[in-house]
Amino acid sequence: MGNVILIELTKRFGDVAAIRGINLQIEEGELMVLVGPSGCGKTTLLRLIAGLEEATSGEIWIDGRLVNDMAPKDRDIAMVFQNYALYPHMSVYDNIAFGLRLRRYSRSEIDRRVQQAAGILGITDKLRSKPAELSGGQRQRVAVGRAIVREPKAFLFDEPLSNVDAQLRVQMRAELQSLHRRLKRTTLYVTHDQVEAMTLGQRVAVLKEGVLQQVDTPQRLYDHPASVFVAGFIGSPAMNFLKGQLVRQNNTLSVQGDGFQMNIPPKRASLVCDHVGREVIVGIRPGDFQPGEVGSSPDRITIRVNVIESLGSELIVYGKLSSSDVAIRLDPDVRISLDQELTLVVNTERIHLFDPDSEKTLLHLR
Amino acid sequence: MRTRGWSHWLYLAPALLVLGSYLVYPTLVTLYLSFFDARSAQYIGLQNYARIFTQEETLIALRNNLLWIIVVPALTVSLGLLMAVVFDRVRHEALAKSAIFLPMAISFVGAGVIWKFVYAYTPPIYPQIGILNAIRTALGFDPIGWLIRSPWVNNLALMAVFIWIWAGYCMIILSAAYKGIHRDLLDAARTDGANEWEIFWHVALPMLRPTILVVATTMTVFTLKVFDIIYVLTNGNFGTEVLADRMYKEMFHFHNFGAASAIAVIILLAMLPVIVINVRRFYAKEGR
Amino acid sequence: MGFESGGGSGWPGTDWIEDIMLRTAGPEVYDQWVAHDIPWTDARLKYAFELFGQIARNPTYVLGGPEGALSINFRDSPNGLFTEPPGCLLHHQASFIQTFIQKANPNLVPVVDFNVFLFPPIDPARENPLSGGGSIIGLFKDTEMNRKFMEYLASREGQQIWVNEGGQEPPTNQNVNLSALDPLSSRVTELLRSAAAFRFDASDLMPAAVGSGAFWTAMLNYVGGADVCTVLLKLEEAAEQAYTSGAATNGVIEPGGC
Repeated sequence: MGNVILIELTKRFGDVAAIRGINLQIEEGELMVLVGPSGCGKTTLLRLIAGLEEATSGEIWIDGRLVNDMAPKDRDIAMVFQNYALYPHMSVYDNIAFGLRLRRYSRSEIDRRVQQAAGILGITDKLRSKPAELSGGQRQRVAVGRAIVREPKAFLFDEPLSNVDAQLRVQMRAELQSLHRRLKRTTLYVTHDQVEAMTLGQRVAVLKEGVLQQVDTPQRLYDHPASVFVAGFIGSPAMNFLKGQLVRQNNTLSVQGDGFQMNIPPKRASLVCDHVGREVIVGIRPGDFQPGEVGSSPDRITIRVNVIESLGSELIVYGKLSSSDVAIRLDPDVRISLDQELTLVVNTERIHLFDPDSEKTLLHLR
Repeated sequence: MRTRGWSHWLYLAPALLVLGSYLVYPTLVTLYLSFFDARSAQYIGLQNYARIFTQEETLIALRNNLLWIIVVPALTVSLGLLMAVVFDRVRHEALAKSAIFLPMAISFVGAGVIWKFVYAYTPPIYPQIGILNAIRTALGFDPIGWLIRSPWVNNLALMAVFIWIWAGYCMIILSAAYKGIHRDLLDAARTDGANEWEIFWHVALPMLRPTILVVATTMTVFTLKVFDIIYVLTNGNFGTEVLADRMYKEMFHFHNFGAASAIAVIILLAMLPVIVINVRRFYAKEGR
Repeated sequence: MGFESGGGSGWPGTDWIEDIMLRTAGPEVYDQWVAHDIPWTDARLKYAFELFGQIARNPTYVLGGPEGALSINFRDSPNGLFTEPPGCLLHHQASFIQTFIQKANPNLVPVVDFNVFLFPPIDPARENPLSGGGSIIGLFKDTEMNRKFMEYLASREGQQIWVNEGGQEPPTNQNVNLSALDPLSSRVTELLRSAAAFRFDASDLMPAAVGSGAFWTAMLNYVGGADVCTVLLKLEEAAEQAYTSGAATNGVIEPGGC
């Protein structure tokens, strides 16, 4: 078991840079989720660590060893593939035992470990089956079993749940989480699904176009997104972004835009006072609105309701604020109808402000 | 669905007619003629067959056919497999594969002519026009008659031509199958700790087995039917004759209908097990 | 020597045996041989093969040795006469080879640069006959007119036209004027006219399974080093299968040499 450290890791395919100068440390025993939209380079990053791709530059350290020039088999990592990649001609038992046999473990040791892994994953009665005879969830477990029997230094998961149906995904997610708690192995888990990232990861790394955007715990990632991209990517429905201008009125900072004006609470104002007079992007999560009275007070906005999605536990309302689209999450007992004008109070304690040029947050904690 | 009546026979009739007159009838007549003498005038029982298994020429032909069946399918398939896997990793894969596949476009007779030049022998006092002997003499050896030296040099030289033609075909089929193996499977084996040889042996090869079997049986059938290469390069002389060439000679040189028919029947019988295997496999696949 | 001839490989060797048989055993035995009245294992045939073998199997006599003789195509085999240094000094072949010589060496002048002589006598007690092939005219329908036409083709008048129109085959009619022939062909014709006897090519007269099958193969095997009796026994076996007549066909005659 050990940590994984990436230093200035870069991978180019021809002229295209898939991974650009990534610095990342996955602590020993940590479950880190790497999340990003498809094509952002997350699978490439995983394959670089596994040794299935060769780094263009930078360093990869696994458990204190520089592994750049090591073949995959010598890196002592295990990888679970998106499509399970089970050997179709081998039984479940042989699939799981394959890596141990290659490493010349004794028969009894192989059997002990395979049985143990099968027990953990609940596939003991399937050991004689061929992969083709298994359900998607069972195949997924076999793929995991193949990884865990070897007791490698690190696990790499490449979107392992993207091929299973929604219900099973929730269950498997929980199983993987408890498995990690039990084994406490260093794990890098790749997904494009931010829900999976938030629920599984002890820390989450957000990747966009080969560049690492932010690495943090799920909650901090949600509360303090470092950029418009992270803010928009994490959380569902996505954060609303409105263009506005930062102005000072009577000693209070406020942001004014097309159809809204809201005051910035003092705690946040102190971080952005340099930006008075400039354009900013205001970010408001859908949940940071409350239905309010019609009135002239700032922090109020009025939207025209376009779509209402009732999810039972909550309402998601999509509407227009002037020319901008906004999504709002409300309690299910709020009574609204389509095309209605709806006045809402913004919880300005939780608004985000971004620089429209760099798209970076203006709320750097100092 | 089963239907009563005769309408389905109507649809089958053209096929049955063609098969019957061009396949079944000639086969039966060949079988019949094989029990008669050279002029098909006198019934001589199994004498033609007895001759095949006693006469030196046909014994050599039988030996050579056996040699071909042992050596050629094994070499064509394994070379094809090797190239399919190796070319999968080279930069100009399409180019390399085209070059290897190219001989397929050449007729066997054309290939025979090409290889006649490759194997050409001129007396040592003259420059060698054959590439192989040119290489030999350049290295300080005497030229040798590649097609003369029996039984190994010339028979292997002839087999090389067959392999040259067909290895590319095996390569293309096996390459398609190899590319059909999901890349993740090979990567999974890599991370599981397999080296490239172990990946090939434990993962790729078992998955290619059905394709290998099909290609190998196809090559066996083709090998059993080999004729042109030997006809052009040695005409079966110097201990290189195979049954098909012997059959041709008996029929068209010596006008011995009986002997030629008997050899044809032997070739057909030798082919049957391979055909049965192929048909069984086909049904097994269809049934699944 | 060049015995390679694609599907016909080996035939140049049969001409050797035929020439030797004519000179060592004489035309009458030659005829018996063709008719299979004597078996292939006859001592006189064995002697002919061995005599031939003394030359053909001797690497110092034959360009490239037996391997060369078996590898070289008969069309190319005379070219050794004209290289510098020469690959060979003499070449045994029928008169048609002139065409191939001149095609390969267009600058050579027949008679001046290369010439022809009849295969020399072997047994001084015997005469020196000539063997050869030729155009054969057949008749499918026996009518008076057809017979007359055949006679005309064989006549001096008919053959003279043939020669005058550029046919280079030596005419069989003794009275044909040879001035239109090229000098070498006309020399060959004179050899033919003055020969003590003429016999048609034996292998061409035998059943195909022997004359253009077993005999050819036998020549290749024998040049390649096979034992003379092995070769002759195989030839006799093939002959017994192929012939329907002949005193030796059913093993009536004693084996003789082997």
